[in-house]
Amino acid sequence: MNTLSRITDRLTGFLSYFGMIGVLAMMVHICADIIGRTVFDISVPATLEMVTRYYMLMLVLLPLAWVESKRFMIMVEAFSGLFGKLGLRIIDVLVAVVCIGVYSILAISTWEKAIEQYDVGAYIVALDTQIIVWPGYFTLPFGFGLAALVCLVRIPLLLFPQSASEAA
Amino acid sequence: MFLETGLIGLGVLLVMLILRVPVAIALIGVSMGGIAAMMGSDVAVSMLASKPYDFLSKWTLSAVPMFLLMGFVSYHTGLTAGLFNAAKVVFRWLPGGLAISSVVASSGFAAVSGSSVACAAAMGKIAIPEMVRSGYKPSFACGTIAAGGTIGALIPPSILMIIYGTFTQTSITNIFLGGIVIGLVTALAYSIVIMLVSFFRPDVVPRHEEGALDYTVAQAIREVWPVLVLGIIIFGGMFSGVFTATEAGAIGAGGAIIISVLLRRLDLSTFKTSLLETLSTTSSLLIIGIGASMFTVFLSLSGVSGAVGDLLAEWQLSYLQLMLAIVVVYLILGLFMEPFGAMLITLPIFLPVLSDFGVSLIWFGVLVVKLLEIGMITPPVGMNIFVIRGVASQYASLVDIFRGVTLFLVADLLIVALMVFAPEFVMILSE
Amino acid sequence: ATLTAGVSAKELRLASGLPPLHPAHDPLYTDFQELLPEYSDGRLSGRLFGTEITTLGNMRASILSGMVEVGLFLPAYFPADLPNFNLVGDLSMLGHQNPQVTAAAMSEYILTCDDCQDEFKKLGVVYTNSHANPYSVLTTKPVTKPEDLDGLRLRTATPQHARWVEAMGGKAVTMATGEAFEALSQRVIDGTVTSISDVISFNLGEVITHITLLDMGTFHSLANHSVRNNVWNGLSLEDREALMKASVVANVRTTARWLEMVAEGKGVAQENGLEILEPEQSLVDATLKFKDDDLVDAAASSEERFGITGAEAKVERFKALVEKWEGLIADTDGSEDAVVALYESEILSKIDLATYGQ
Ligand code: NA
Ligand code: NA
Repeated sequence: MNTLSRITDRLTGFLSYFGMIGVLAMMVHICADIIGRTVFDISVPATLEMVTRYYMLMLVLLPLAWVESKRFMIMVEAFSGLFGKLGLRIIDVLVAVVCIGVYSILAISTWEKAIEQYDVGAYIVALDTQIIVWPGYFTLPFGFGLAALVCLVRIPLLLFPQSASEAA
Repeated sequence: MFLETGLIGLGVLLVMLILRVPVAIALIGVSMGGIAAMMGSDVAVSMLASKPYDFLSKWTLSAVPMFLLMGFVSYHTGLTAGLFNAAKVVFRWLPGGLAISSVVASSGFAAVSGSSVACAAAMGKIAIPEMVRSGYKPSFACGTIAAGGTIGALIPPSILMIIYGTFTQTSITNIFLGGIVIGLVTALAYSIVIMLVSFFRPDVVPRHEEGALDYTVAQAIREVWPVLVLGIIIFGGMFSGVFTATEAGAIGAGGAIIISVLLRRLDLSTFKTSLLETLSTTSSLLIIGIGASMFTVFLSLSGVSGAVGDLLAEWQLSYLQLMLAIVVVYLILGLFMEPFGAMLITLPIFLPVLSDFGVSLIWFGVLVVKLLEIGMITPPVGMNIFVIRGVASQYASLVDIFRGVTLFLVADLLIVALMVFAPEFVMILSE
Repeated sequence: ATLTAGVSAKELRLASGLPPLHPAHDPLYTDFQELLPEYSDGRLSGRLFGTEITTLGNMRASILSGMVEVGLFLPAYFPADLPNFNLVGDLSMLGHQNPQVTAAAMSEYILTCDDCQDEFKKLGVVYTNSHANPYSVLTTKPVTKPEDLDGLRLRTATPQHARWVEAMGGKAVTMATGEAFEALSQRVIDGTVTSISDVISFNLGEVITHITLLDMGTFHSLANHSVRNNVWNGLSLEDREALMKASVVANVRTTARWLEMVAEGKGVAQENGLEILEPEQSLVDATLKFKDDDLVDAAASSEERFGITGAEAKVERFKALVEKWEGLIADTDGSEDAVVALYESEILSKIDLATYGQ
């Protein structure tokens, strides 16, 4: 279990770097487009397509597992005080189970969609260039699947906090 | 009919939220289970497979990470640090001048940042110690900054408004224009509150500042110009039509990075921190957006959205009664929930009703953002209050700070009343 | 409507996948919803869902999964499913300037085309009919001669329009209708081949400067009220007749609505100071020549790409149907009742709904 949690840590951290690349690439691409058309009267190709078909998907889904592992997901904290320390730990385990369920089903459904898009070789045409769009679909099952894994790894740490701190 | 399933779904959602299931997961889980129960798993899977991609692959949503990046870079590199000193040069002579300067500085910060919490945190660190030193009652000093922070999400850019505009397919530029009006009105109202307190309770807010400024006007200008330049580029470009509201985010982020590099304030670790905060905020927000778009399908298929409209039609609510109901719902949700979840959970229910009443969706967007921002400073869960407590723990307890915002809340409710009774006022710039 | 049947009433889930003000939603779906109970004596009704449920791009999955039971299906979005439909659906420039003619010819063609019906059966959807919308050229530069098109980047919605743009020396660009505004304002494209109604509905009046009244045919690659297979199979003969009739009436109204919107679009264009140009004879001739040459190429290429047999004969049959309906409609006053009556006598009376679609 420890190696598994170390691997997930590495992988989620690594993927968040790709998210950063997504943010910066999007910024540069949009800026280049604006400057290009206002200053030089030239248009940078495929801005809209790249933003909607790649950058946005990259920067939301690739860091998702990392966000989940750091527990940055938004939740309603108002009632946490009601449950007590032990209650909260039990609830956290249940919540992790729910999250695994939802993430897994999302991963499977979007995987099938991605395969379908891959099979037809989905593409769009912007200006004269043909842009393939199917790779963008794979960010979804990838992001959701890894998030499920992160929640799975969390359960033993919640059940046996002792051994977890020793391991760390 | 599936109405029963829809209502059960709403109940399950509530329980899941109380049990601390992440808002996004609760929304997706309920929609998935509900649709599978009503129409079979094929329908549920088909929705799960298509909605995340459909929701995320929207051009306007790209403004969310871009404006966030601009805000985080500006904040972490201290581009916004000079705002308070610059505001003091102009407003120091007024009764309660320091507090008013902090509200003005918050409005300036708002123009380069998309969120309210960031605004409160930044101003809190700088202004609260100085106000307390000058004889302000600490609870009121903290309350001023917490309330002033809400201007951050009203004056554009505003992440809440972008997500609202994308979700309702309305013009983000027009919502921004409404936000400028209400943001400035809020700043003005808060300043009046401060002056009134200073008049009646000089022990809480001193009428005059002691001593001279310990910096020159030239120094103040030198400190504040980066923010001014950034603000002028964004607003000038956006409203003159050189670029759209969506593209303004990328220009703003790029501008903040270039300015802070030129000033030698951006090192690699600050840059990385800003990027990571951008990612975590964007990802956690937009996943809720995906959940809300699925929840909309669930409510619509189950007939709950239609039933709410029918019920209201049956009650023959007048415009004012409907608005009162909506205001009360958002104020109650605002007590407990963070604004994005509260907005995205309620829009699927309210939007169909509003279209029956012929309400302008742009105006409504500004109203919803204002109401949700009020929730940032109401107990028991008020994010701005928590943030102030974090940066100024030595000055006031949570209860003290909640007490300190009371008068600002009264001003906020008056502004909401103004918005409901004179909707055309909000749209004054949009026409 | 009499709702005495009460208990046995069947409520169908309807979705156009389009925003509320689009003619292919209102009246195509709103009127269909109203007419269903009227023609079926209350046995059938519909619940109409908006774009929050599904969009055109997701319609295939939505109908096949059962979320939507009757939906607007654009075969051009799913080229692999319905190649025989697309063979004529893609030939936009064969469409008649009066879209009622195109709509009726297209509906008769598909309803009586065995290969098309086999494809629909395989897909799991039952076809009712098609409407049509006349297209023109909307640009940011004046276009009256073939030379004006040289190097222009034009957005096109159908493959034949794309080939026309390329043949005239321009560059064809594909994008969603909703994205054309942004692309025009960013000067990514110089114009679009579309309905003049887009001047209003997609605000194109703000970003284009010229409209050329060149006959670009119609957009008619549409399957109006496509019914999910197992829903259709569960309907009685009377209910099928009622559904078909409701669909035809909504279709005729929608096609008429497009004509109104084109007129409104021209009005707004004039108010906004846009230039409305008549094409010079050289452009009309070049376009006619393109149309003749292209038909042969189009038939050959769809035989090659999709394995369609007898493509040229099929295209000829469609052309003949357009001519037939041009004559039929010219003999009437063109009113809704007259056109609907023609659909009934010329098409519906010749189809056995007891076995159709099964
Ligand atoms: Na702001
Ligand atoms: Na609150």
